[in-house]
Amino acid sequence: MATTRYWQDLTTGEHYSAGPTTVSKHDVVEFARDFDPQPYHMDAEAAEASIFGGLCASGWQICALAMRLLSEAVEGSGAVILGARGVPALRWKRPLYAGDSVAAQIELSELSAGPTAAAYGVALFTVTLANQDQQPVLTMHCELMIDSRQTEEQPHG
Amino acid sequence: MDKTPLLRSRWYEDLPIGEFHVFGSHTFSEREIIEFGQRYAPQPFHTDFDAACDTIYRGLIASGWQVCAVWMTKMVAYMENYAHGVQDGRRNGGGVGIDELQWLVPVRPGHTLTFTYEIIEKDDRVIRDKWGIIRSRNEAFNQNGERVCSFIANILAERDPAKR
Repeated sequence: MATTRYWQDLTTGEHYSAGPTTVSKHDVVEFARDFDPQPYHMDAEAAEASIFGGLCASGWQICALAMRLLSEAVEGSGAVILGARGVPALRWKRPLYAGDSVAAQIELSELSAGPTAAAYGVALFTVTLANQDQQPVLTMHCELMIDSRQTEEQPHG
Repeated sequence: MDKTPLLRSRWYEDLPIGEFHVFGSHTFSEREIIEFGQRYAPQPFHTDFDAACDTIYRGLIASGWQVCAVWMTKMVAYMENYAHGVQDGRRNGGGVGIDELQWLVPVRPGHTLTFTYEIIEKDDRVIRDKWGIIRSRNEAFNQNGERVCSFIANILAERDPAKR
């Protein structure tokens, strides 16, 4: 278990990596059935006729996966994530096909203070998810709320 | 009975800026929040009631990606309702990306969100000879009228072959 690092201990330019993890056909179809029931996420034949050319994961499933890898990497470094504030931008660069493996490269791009008296500071991460051929699948800028060291003046609780 | 396609079957050129839709509402149950959390977002405030009570949220909240995924579900159902039969996987170009996604207010078990969509901009670039990009502002409001989530979606729509 890594030593706890507070928001004040993080440095712009820090680099992390996470994965790879494989997304099975079952994973793709299950997410699609629950949330994004479009032919190219559900049915191999329909997917081949679509713009994507094969059965591929919902973009939202890719986002959740990227966030999961980001969380693992950041928490693995000792920081405590209190939540996510937003995603200033994300781009789906190419399909994540059923059976693909993806890994994340992550950089800490920017640090900014949280609201006054908040228990956290904000860290902006740039996440690039790439497949087994090192082709980018997703780029995402994500703002996480990171537990910060409380100073004497701040009230507890 | 014939169902005339109204929305999904229109070309890029036919989609007007300012067009507004309410995709519908969804109530988030504790069970589905935990299930989504365990599968896709295993943070204590999404997966475990007791652990969630010890976080800054003081209870379970839905993953922000679950809010987005439910938006997707509502959009697919809404569009399918208006354009039955055209959803054959060829006309729909899928999403390019998202901008300015913000999670503003926690979504808790029992909360009901209503999802809205408005076309705000059309990108004049032609993508791969046949697509255009529709930019829409999407928002989710809870049962108290608070805006809990907001984002801009960039989605491909096919251009009219006669006007290419």
